[in-house]
Parts: sequence; structure tokens; C-alpha cells
Amino acid sequence: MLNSLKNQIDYDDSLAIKGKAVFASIYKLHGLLVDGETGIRGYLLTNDASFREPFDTAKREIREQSESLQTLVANNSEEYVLASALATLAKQKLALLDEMNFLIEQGALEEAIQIDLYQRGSGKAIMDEFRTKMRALLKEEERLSELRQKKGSDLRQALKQFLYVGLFADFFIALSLLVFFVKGITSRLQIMMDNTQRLAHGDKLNPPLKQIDEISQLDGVFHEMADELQAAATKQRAIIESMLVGVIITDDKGLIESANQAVEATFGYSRDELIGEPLLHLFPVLPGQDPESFIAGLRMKAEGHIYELKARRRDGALFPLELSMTEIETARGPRLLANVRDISERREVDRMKKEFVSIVSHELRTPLTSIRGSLTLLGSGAVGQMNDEALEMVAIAERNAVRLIALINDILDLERLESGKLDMHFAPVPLNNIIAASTEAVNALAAAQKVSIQQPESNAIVIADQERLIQVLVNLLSNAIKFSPEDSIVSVVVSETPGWTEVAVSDAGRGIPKASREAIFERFHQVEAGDARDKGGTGLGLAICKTIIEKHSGTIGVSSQPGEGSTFWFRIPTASSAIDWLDKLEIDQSASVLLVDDDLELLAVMQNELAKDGIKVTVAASVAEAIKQATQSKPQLMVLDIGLRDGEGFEIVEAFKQNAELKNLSMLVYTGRNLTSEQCARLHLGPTYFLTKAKATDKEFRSLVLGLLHHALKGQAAEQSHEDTAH
Amino acid sequence: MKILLIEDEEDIRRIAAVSLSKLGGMTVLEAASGPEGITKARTELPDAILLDVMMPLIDGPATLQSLKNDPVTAKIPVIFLTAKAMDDELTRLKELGAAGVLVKPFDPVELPKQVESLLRLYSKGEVDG
Repeated sequence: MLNSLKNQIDYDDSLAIKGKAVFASIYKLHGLLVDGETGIRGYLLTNDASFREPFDTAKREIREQSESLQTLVANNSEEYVLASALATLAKQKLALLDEMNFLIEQGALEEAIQIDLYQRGSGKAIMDEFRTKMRALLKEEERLSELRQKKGSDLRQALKQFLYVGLFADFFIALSLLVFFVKGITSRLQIMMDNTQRLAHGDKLNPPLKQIDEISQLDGVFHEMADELQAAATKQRAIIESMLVGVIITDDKGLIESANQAVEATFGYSRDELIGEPLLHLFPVLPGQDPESFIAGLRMKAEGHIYELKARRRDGALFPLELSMTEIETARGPRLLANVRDISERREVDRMKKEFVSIVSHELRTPLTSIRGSLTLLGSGAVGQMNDEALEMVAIAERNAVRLIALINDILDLERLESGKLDMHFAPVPLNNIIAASTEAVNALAAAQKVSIQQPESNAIVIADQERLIQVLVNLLSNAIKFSPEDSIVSVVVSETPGWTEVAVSDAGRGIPKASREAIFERFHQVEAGDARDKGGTGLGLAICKTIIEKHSGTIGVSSQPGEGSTFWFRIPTASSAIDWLDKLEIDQSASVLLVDDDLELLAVMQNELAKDGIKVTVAASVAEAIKQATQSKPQLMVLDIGLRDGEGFEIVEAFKQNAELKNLSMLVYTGRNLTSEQCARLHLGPTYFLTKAKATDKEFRSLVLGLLHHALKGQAAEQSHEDTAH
Repeated sequence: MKILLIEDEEDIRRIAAVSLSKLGGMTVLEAASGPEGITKARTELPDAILLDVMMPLIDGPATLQSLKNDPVTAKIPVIFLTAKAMDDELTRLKELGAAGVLVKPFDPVELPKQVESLLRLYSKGEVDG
């Protein structure tokens, strides 16, 4: 429609141009006739042919001009009639003028004048007629032109209106489309939003959108993504499910969020029973223990390392469990990941293995003893004299029987030490006694090797199983002697650090290559292959030493310069004696003491006593509280009672041993119980002292605490300055 | 001197017997079990008895008990032979009424001297007591 309007307007414009051509054509035709007549007259008057030129032009062009006019108005019959009439009249006029021209050329001027006169008279009618028709045509053309103009403006109006309507319609359509599309888009976006929620919650997604546009494509991609996530999650779940190790995830308060199949198998609970329960549910509950402090304690012991503890199955049976914990950050906050493994079977296998070793060793020992006895008797000549070669053979056999027996004895020793079957009898022992007994035992060996022993005087008192510690020192001394060159010195050096006594045995032997320095404490490891034969020994001596020293809560090691000798040392806790030299001590105001006791009244008394000296005191009445307090206040000293509301002081010590910041904490064990020496040995962190409740006065208690605190702060400062120099 | 050796392990018993007879010049009687030992003790009336602690069915302490309950054998000094060298074990055995305790494995060259010195100590104690 718009196009047809435009065509119409274009057409009308072409008509207007044509109108102007019609006017021009009429005037031209008229001009040609008038000019032609004037030319002829001039020719008549002057007989000069040059005047005749306009006539010649008229004669040449009139026909053409008439036809052109007729063509121009050909589609308007009224105008065409007028144009035809004008053509005829022009033709008639031209004929007259032509006749005059002929007459003038012939010299018949009179006749020519006659015609001219005629033309001016009755002949004038042709031109009048022409002019009338000409005016009519002009008028008609003018009318047409006006009509066209009006029609044009009407058309433009129509076009304008049409455009307005179109614009409005466009707007309306656009608005409708907008509403339509927006509605489609938002509803689909809502489906996608819902999908994201479903994905997050692990629900099934809405079916994919069917349309073909960007949103549907996006939805498609989202479905693919969800499928891949699903596949990955399924895979991960399958891995976790199939793991032999139990995996438990709890929230930061210790409530179980998920568990794998191994957990179900280990504990006998179904997952539904476990989820939402505190982790404590899986362990024997001690009186006064709450889930939160349980988790705190557990994290302290098991975070980052493997920790063994007793766990409880659904049927109430207790079993040994290996636990390690890791904190993981998730989008929903921190979570605890616990790996658990039932190690009762492993324990049983261990036990059987050790029992086997034990039985085999016993069974070997009996016949070996008989062999040795018989050989000894043979060698003694009790059952008859032998020649020298026979005696030599008997001696070789006896020597090897002795070695085998020694080896079996060492294996049994080690096994009994490790299995705890060998009781350790700890007591405060003067170190001097141990050194003296040990050097006496190796004197004969030293003399045979032409080695002298340099021994110190020490007034240190250590907590030790005397016999076992002598065994260690004898072993170290005899090793040193065996590997010393003739006429050299083996020296024993004692040094003390707060809480610890170190004994070092140095020789001038061949030294120990770096690669072997740790390995020599392992079973059957000797530096050179022939050592067992050449130097005697079973290859178990240092392993036994290490086990014994570890039973003393100590450490053992070696430093060596190959070619220049070695120094074997061990370090064990120093025992305290009564401390009464500390009455007047300046105590740093930043010092902090943790008092752990279930007797609240006593706690208050002790707190008052210590507050007099301006010491910061924190108190705890339970294992859980003590662990919490110690982690927060980082005390320099802990005063520890053994019997507590939810357990025993041993548990606190065990927990602190796993904590880098607390494992060297000074400690005063303040209990009414009579502790065995073995229990005393277990109660060791840093410098540790023992005070029996009933036997100590408040004053003694106070001075002991002050002394220990002073000691601890001094130790801290020394360590600090040591570190400063080291860096 | 006549000594009765009650020991279930034949090899050990033979070694001890050879040691005591050849090196110690003693007359050695052998018994492989407690009951056999008790019978021999009643009939042979040895000067001393060397008694193994660990024996099947009737062990050393039970055998000692029987010997002490029989007035015929009650006065014969008995020395235990034990593989358990713990202090408290030695004390326990002495408290049962033994004249002494020897630790296994014994050195067969030293055995006669050890037996003699224990018996000397015991008879001195008996006289003093």
C-alpha cells in the first residue's frame, strides 16, 4: 500500500512535469505561427528574403510541434481534441503564409498583399480560432494541473496518516512482542534458576527446554554440565564408598554429615543412624565429656597425624581404632574429615607375630643351651682329653653357640621391651651410679683393647630403670671400645639442660658415614658387613638401646666425623629433688600457670596463693577443659592432678605431647596418688616434677610453682637467644 | 656327696650330671619327673637335690612341697634350677623353703662349685639358725 501510494505520487509528479511541457508546446506553436506571419510580411514589404527566415523555421517545425503537443495530451481526450484542432488551424495558417511566400517569390506582390489583407480580415478568423482553442487548452491544462496538485496533497495527507497509523501499529506490535517474549524468557529463566537450585541440592533437573534459541541452548549446556558433574560426583562417591578406610565428614561442631560403607562395616551402625549424631557417639564416653570438647581434644591429637584410640561399636564392644583428621574448607563452611581404620586385626597379627618370635626364640634357646653346655664340658676336659685340633674345633663350635644364644637373648629382650612384657622399674637414680656400674662392666674389654675410659663426676639424678640404663651405657661403651684404636681414650661426658640430662660416649674410632647414622639404630644394621664377625655383637644392641631410651621418654642419637670418631648420646628426663632455693624470685608478670584439679576448693586456694605473686592463673577441672585452656592461654607451667572429672591427667599429657607448642611445657604433678615409677615416666612433657599432696604445705607448693615457673621462663629466654644466634 | 637331679629335659640333665660327677666328683642320681624324684629321694636319701622348676604335671614347687611334707625327705636341702631370672621369682622360690636358686642356662664348668657354695651357705645358715 505504501508502495502504491508512492507510485501514485511519482506518477502525479510526472504528470505535473508533462503539464509544464504542454504549456511550453502550446506557446511554441503559437510563437511559430506569429513569427512566421511577421517574417512573411517583412519579406513582402522589403522583398528581402532574409526576413522570411522565421517563416522557414515555422514551416520546418510546426508539424513536429503539433504532433508533439498531441502526443503530450494524448491520454486526455478533451485536450487531444483541442490539440488536434490547434494542429489543423496551424496547418491552415501555414498554408496561407506559404501561398503568400510563393506569390512574393513569383513577384505577384499584389496577390500577396491581397492574401495578407484577407488574413488581416476574414482570414484573421484562423488565428482567432487558434487563440480561442489555445486558451481553452491552456485553461484545461491549468485545471488539470490544479486538480493534480490537490490530488497530490491528498495523497501526501493519506501517506502521512498511513505512516502515523503504521508507527502506532509498529509500537503496539513491538510492545505485544515484548510482553510475549519477556514472558517466555522469564518463565524459562525461572526454570533454569530452579535447575541451579536443584543441582545444588542434588535433585533431578527439570526436563530440557524444547525451543531453539539462546536460552534453550544455555539450558542444554547447563544440563550437559550437570550431567558431567553428576558423573564426576558419582565417580567420587564410588571411590569413597569402595575405600577400605572409613571416611567420616562432620561439621565444625563434630556432628556427622556423611560416612562411607567402611564406617558402617567398622562400627555396625547404618548411615541413617549416624548422620546428625555427634562423632563422640562412636567412642566410649567418659563422665563429663561433651561432644564439643571431645572434638577439640581429638583434633589436637589427630589433626595431621595418625592417632590411636579406643572406639566403640554399635554392640558396645571396644576396639582399637586408628584415626587421622583434616580440616577442609567447603562452600558451606569448615568441615572435619576423619579417616578411621579398625586396627584390631593388625594388632592381633602383631601380637601373634611377636608371640611367634618369642616362642621360636625360646624353642631355639633350649637346645642351644644344651649344645653350649656339652661343648663347654668337652672343652673343659671333664669327659676326656682331646688333641689341640679337636679342642680348637670345640672352641669354634662353642663360640658360635654363645653368639647364637646372645642373638636370641637380644631378640627376646627387644620383643619383651616392645611388647611391654618387660617391666621397667623407674626411680630417681644418681647418674654416677649408672656410669660407675657401666664402666666397671666394660673394664676387662677396655683393658684387652688397650683403651682407657674417661668418666665424669655428675650429681645429676635421672628418672630411670637402673638395670636397663646400665645395659644401654654398657652397650655404648663396649661399642666405643671395640671400634677404638689401641691406646686411645673413650670418654663419657654428662651435660644438663632444663629438665634433661644428656650422656655422651665418644670414641676415636673410624666414625660412621652419614648414610648409616640413623640406620644403625635399626635391627641388624651394622656399618660394615664383617662387623658382627670381627667385633662380636648381634646387630641388635643399638636397637635395644633405642627402645630402652624411648621407654625413658628420652632420645638417642649419634654425631660423627668419619675417620675421627663418633659420639653416641642419649637424653633422659632429670628428676627433681626438693626445691627450697627459690623463695625469693622475681617472676615475670606475663607468666601464666594452668592449674588442673577436680577439687574446686583446692583450686581456689592455689589460685589465691599464686595470685599474691602476680601470676596469671587459669584453672581447669576436667581433661577437656585443661586442653582447651592450655591451647588458649599457652601457659609456661601446668600443675596437674591425676584424677579428674572426665578422665586422668595422663590423657592431658598424651594430648600435649602431640602439640608442638605444649610438648615441652614445664609441669608439676601434684597428686595424692602414689605413682609408680612407670607412671611417673609417662607423665613427662618438659621439665617435670612430682609433689605429693598430703606431704606438701601451701608454702612448699607456692615456692615449687615459683621455682618451676622461673626455670621455665629462663629456659624460654635461653631458647630464644639461642635461636637468635642461630639465625 | 650324693646328689639327686630332678630334671625333665634329658640333655640338660645329662650335661648337669656329667658336670657334677666328672668336675665335682659327686655321685649323681637322676630322675626325669617329680614323682620319680620323690621316690628316689625316699629310697636313696641323697645329700642334696637339684630340682627343675618348670616340669609337666608336677612342677618344682609342688615336688618341693611333697618332699618337705615327708619327714624322711624334709631335711634334704633342695636347690631350684630356673630359667626365670627375675628378682621377685627368685625371692618367691626361696620363700618356698629352697636352699638356693640357680639360674638356667648354667655354665656346666661352674655348676659344681655353685652347688657346693650354696650348700655351704645353707648349712651355715641352718647351724646359725
